[in-house]
Amino acid sequence: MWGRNISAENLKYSNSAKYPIRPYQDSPTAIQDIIDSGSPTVDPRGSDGLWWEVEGTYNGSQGYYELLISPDKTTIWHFLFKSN
Amino acid sequence: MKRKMIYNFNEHGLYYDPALKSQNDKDKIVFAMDTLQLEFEYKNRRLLSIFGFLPLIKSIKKEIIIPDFTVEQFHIALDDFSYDKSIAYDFFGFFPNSKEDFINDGILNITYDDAAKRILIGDIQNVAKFVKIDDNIICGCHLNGELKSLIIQPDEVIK
Repeated sequence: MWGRNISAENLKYSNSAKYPIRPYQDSPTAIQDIIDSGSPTVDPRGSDGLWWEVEGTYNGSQGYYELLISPDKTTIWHFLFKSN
Repeated sequence: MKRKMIYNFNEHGLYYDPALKSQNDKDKIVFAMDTLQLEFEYKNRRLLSIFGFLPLIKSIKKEIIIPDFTVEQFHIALDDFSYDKSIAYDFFGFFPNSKEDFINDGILNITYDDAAKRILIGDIQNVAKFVKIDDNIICGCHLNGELKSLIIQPDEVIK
């Protein structure tokens, strides 16, 4: 599994992904759960990043967690909970 | 101090310096167009800022001419609802009529003018009105006020 090579504890945020800070973005556990949920897919937008889109809930809302990590596996380029 | 909008090719992202503050300290709601985030003031529904992951890799590369515009705010028509400040809401779920202008083959329809360092998202044709909300953002609107396009002019582009 791809996730075995990535530790959420070691990831940093890009400038565009870091602000505004949302509570779940401070949770390495939540990020690791997404990484470990399955293999990433190719980013359809053309970047070389690793893309996860995982169904989930946050504060009672249904939606999707979107996570995109740089190809060198050091930086979170995008991490967002998007409500349906 | 005036905030500066920056596009960074290394992280494919759009952000501000100084950085935006926490979502929890003001009356703001965020709508997401794919991975791009549009921040609005909830109380009066005006667009405040645009940021997020916005790769230009698949963009059409051509000149983007700034159209005639008026300087005013852009507001969305949004009924009151109990929103969560830490959640981003799908823009096209709330404004489905804009989707065909902004999305092409499942991703944002982006044009990039490398000479002018200017980004166009959506359809610039058949736009009834362009409104410049600040030095970085021009909104293209339909007659009924729906958003059809965004012209983004960062203050700085990092390659």
